[in-house]
Amino acid sequence: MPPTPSFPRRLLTPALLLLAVILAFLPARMSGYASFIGDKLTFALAPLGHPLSYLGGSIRGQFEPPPPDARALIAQWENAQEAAALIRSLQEEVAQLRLENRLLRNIHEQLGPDAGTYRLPNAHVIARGADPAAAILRLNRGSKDGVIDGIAATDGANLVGRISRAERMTAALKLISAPGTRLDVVLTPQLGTVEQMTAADAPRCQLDVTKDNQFTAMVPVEQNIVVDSFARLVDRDWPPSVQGMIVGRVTSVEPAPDDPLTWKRITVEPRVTLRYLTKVTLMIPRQE
Amino acid sequence: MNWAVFGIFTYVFLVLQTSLTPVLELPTRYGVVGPQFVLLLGVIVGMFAHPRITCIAWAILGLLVDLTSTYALGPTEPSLTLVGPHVLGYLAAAYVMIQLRTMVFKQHPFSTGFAIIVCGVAAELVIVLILSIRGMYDPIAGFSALPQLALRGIGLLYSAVVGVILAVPMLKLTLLFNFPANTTHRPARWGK
Repeated sequence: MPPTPSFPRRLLTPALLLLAVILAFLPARMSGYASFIGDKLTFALAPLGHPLSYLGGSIRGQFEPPPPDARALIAQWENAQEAAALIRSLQEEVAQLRLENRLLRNIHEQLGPDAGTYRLPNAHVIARGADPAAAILRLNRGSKDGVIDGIAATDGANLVGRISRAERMTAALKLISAPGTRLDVVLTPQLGTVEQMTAADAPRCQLDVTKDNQFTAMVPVEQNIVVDSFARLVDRDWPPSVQGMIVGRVTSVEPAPDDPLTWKRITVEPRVTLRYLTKVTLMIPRQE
Repeated sequence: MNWAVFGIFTYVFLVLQTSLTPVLELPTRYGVVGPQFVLLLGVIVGMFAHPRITCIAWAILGLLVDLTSTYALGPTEPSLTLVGPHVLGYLAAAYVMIQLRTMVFKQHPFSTGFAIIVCGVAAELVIVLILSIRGMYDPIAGFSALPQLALRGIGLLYSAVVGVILAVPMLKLTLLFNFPANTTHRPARWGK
């Protein structure tokens, strides 16, 4: 017959169970310790996790259907190749670069005198949540690199999300496509200028995340919105550094099902699948 | 059980679960699902280890999954990492596993897939219950119990399919874990 455990040992299992129950129901403001330990654990997983995450994101990116604008570019490139018109393809490339340049100039102009007050380090995605409800990416930069809660992350001119919790070595990035996100945006042509973004009559709306990587919003029927316009951030809850950044592209404009005479429903999709990004740029304010 | 081998496998499976999802995840109408490699490891340990060791191993796996899961709260609130839901969920799964293993052919990969589904259901019910109760005072953005149960159910089916495939090499590797002799050295019922 096995010996009966001593009195304190018998209490160990129920005590640990009770501890787990208490920890499971602790309010969020008292659960900071778990984020601290999770930071260390994610960092420990990074030597194997980072290459795998990069590999996974890259492989997935190969099989993702290209966005419509890229598809058009591919078609143009094929036509140019068939006609052996190398010059034309080069002109396309120049036009694309001009477009990007103009977008970046707009952002620079938007930042105004603050433009030089930000550092823009790149951060790599090293882990994704192990639970299906965890809509957070873990980045390989933390507070030791100057990352603080609330700063924004971008991918070129596209807005990606913001840091929801910065630990010492890693940071949690909440994507703009996370459930429950609401964003105030202005709708502009693709080559929108700062004046168009800030004009009083510019069409504005509030985007809601409806499903994975997609937003919808209701706008009055009087507003002239065309497919392929860009939705740009104009939200006071976000840092000034990302105002005017591209949230997504309008993919459809249709009458609202409930009240088609007054409202129309627009659908906006980010230009890249945010969940599969392997690298983002952080906009960290410079310390004086 | 050899805890060093368990530690190495836990590290590898946790990395696979947190980093390889972009390749393996599938879109569903409730969201995207990926395979839960950690459940497979728990089932393999649960099939052969001593009941007390099984409970400890599952609790450790639950703790690690908890620490690598960060949830989004409100738009301006910091994100939440929480210890407890997966620990308790996986302990429930360990209990189910201990009951279940006397009824299945341990060395057959399909038993592993079946156990992943049954134990996973126990774990996910507890996890969703805890997160739903927490929702009364700390709501997780976009979290709703029924869609989550549907999403996690699909995820378990997917995990079971992946688990059956991975069980073939994993059952061969159980010798490394140094499980009790009366279970590990039983003649294999599959694969010979």
